[in-house]
Amino acid sequence: MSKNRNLKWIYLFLAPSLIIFAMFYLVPIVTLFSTSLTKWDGFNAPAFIGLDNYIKLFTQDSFLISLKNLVYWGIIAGTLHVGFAVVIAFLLHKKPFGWKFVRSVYMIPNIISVAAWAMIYRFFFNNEFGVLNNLIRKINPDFNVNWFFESPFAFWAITLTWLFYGVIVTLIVFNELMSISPDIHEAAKIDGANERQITTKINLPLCKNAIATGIILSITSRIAMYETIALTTRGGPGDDTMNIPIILVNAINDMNYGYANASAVMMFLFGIMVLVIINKLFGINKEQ
Amino acid sequence: MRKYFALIAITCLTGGVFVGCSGEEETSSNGVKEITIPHYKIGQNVGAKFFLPQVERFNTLYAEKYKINIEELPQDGYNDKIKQLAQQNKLPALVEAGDLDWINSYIIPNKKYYDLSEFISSNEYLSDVVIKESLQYNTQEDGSVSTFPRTSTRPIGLFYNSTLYTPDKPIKDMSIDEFVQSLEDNKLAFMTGENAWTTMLFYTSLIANEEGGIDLLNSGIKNRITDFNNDVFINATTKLQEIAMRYGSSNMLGAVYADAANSFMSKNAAIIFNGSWMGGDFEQSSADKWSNGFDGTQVVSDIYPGDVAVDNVQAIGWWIPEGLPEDELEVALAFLEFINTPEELEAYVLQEGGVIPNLEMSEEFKEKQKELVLLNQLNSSVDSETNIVPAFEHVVHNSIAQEEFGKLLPKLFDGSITPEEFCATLTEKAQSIE
Amino acid sequence: MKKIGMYAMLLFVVIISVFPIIWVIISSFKTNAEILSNPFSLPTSINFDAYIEVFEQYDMMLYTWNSFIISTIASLIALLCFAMGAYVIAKYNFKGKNLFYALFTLTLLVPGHTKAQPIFSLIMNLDLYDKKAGLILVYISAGMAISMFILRNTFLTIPKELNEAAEIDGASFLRIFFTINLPLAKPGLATAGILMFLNNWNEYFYAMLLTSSNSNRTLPLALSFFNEAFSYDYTKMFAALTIAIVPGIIIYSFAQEQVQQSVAATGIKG
Repeated sequence: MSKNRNLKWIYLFLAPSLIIFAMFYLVPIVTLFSTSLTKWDGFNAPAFIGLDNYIKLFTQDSFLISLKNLVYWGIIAGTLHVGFAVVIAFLLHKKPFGWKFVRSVYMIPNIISVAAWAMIYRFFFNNEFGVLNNLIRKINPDFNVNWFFESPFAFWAITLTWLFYGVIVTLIVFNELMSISPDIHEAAKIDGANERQITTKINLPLCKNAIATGIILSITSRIAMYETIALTTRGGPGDDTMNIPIILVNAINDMNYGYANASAVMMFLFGIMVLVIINKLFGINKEQ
Repeated sequence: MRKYFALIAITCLTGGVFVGCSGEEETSSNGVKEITIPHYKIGQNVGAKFFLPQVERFNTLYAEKYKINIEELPQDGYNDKIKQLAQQNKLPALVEAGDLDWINSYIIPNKKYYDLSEFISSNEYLSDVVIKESLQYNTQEDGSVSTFPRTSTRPIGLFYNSTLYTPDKPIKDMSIDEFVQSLEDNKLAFMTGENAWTTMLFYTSLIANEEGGIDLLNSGIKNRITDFNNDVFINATTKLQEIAMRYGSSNMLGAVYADAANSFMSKNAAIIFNGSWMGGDFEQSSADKWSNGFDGTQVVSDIYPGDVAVDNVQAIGWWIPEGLPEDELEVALAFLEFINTPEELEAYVLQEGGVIPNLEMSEEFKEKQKELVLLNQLNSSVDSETNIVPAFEHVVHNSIAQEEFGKLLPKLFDGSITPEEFCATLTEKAQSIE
Repeated sequence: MKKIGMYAMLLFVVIISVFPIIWVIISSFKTNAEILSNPFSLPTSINFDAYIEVFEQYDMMLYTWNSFIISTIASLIALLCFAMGAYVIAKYNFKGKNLFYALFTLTLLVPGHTKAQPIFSLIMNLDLYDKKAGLILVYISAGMAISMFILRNTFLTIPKELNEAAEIDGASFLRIFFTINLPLAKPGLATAGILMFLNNWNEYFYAMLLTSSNSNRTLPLALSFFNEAFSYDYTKMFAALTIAIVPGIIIYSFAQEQVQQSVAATGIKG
């Protein structure tokens, strides 16, 4: 190959991606970290204030509640949410009647905008004409709960908007299951393994990496959950459903950029933490 | 050769898209000076009923000369968008009020406003018609005028549905306790969404009815209240909690203004706390908003128990950013002049209520006003004895009024926090802003 | 017994996935009173009045067009940029190749919202606030990781021999890329393109942050504004919601396989 002649073209081809990377990832992330140590309103030059923004974050109730919510949501996402999605993946893998249909349909909530989905749920959970409460009232006529606006229901209302919608995890795990060689199953059957044993002893361990990926994705999307909250509870009642992105956007609107970026850095760090912890827990090798 | 051609094609495609998409500045055709301003008095917003036709009248009057286009924004997002536009130096030619904290901390110290003093003082009519107290409030230390002063006073009270609620005497002559007793099974159209407007008004009247409450509210105009840990607020909050739990409308949790209005106009609530501008909703032309047998003619207006009404002329109004192109400034000033002409002010009062103390009203106006039962009731409820107080939202920091108060109310209303905790949390939030 | 349990779960999945949407669509044909009195009832008559009113009173066409044009342009430009990048990474050896690829795909781990302030300032400084071009730029960058991943894999599956043969014939670098590789990479391009389009079509956060005027408003953003405008006209609200969600579902129904495959392969939200 005429390497030298192509080199010019190679870098020319790479250039757009590199420029995009620099403009929208590298520079913003550097800015993020550096300005999080400053007081900055966007007009005047940033003034270095050390860790003050972080100290303020950690002494503010709304941030501490966000952390608490994040821990709860993270645990729910990593266990119930992923667990449900994995069970569905295993069921689909048995190829029951209509499995393709179920798989396609399960994807739909993820196809439409999160903003629209949040609003649909806002109506779905409406106390007067929402589906949920009217169903419950068929059994208990006195049931009256304003899901998104009452403690402690608001937290659970937000949770329910995503709890069962784990189609991405389902698809990742499902693909992994499909890639398991049929020979392994044949061999196991010859050795006298029953279906349950094949599922738990062979399939589940082989899907370990896929499940770990699913957990990481599910928890990190909880860290970044904005639309769902902004279009329903706005973090209320009180600070019950506060989340870091809400704090971030409020700080941007108040032109408190240093503070905004400090909260963004925290989101970033939590994301990395989740990645490291889950990888450790699952003992995933570097080869991924 | 061909490869360069391909490369050029790619570059042009990419570049062309951006050029094509960013060139959207408005070009005024045939010499009409045109401005576009974002505003929230649109669609179903109560203010739209007067504001949009007024803009139309302006555009018609100056058909060959000026044109104002309105861009729709939700009321809830207006202040934030104005702040973002300011940062881009792209403020629209006319802004109506905005986040007061931000105006005081950024617009005024940085002189980002067009000084209206010349505009007002050079016009004898305008200098007369503006309310002096309001002009003084909007005049800065250097004598410049930052926002256009109020020309009318508009006491804010309440409306009730006379088919549901039949008090023995005017509400203004009752005490809070008498008012509560008179309610029987009737509901109040409270809300907790957005800035919890209707609830906030009633809360203001509860504060005013406490010993020392009126002074406290008045003191907040100059120095924002950041300490709510005192008897006035705790007692008022306790009453608000009790009343809301017993008499709050069924949909109050999470309800936005439109929900509150809807529960009043569908007879689910007998009383709504709101200003006279809501009167338009009770005219026959708004019948499409009514349901469940509601009839606007059955609505009666009054002010709050303890002879309290809410109003504040020490407030900001329309303003013009500094550094506008001559053309836009001309349109903006023309609009300010237009909306303050006697005809427009009279039309405004006929539609939205209020009193213009410094204007001699025309006979025609007086004739028309006689027909406006609701507005007259409200105006005549206010006399020299009435305690006129500024609204709670005007005496606390912007984020307390717009965000925290409404977000905290559901917890108070479902009993998950005590009035003391409510006040303590507000105090904490308010003090962290400093 | 086990079978019943399985089908019950699958039925549950179907119900939670489509019922809320069907409910919204059905409700958009009911009157306000019907919606309020019984959420389960069917409309008494099918008419499109609410839709017509939504289109007449609000710039629904404009919002739809904005969403469409912004999503399409961003996806196409991104596709071209990333195809070029992924192509050289897949086909050629050069210094820093693995580092670049790692950097590009690692962007997946950066939650989009964290960069809100720097991107807000960047767009301000470029004077692209409240312009479609600003949103387009941001959307181009958002598709980086998934597109790189999908497209590199696609180019890897195209036999190297084709390039070698073409080079012997004296074909230029550009010619090899545009006339040999790109056509063969169509499936990958389609997958990445559809996925980016859907993401852009649904994007709310940056649309909220970076636009203000009516003329640049996208559909998801407009939808959230209706929250206020329509809040007691539920029929119109539901009609507007339907208008916003149906196009995405239609696109998806034509490209189910691609979307599912790419989602599974990269684990990115659709």
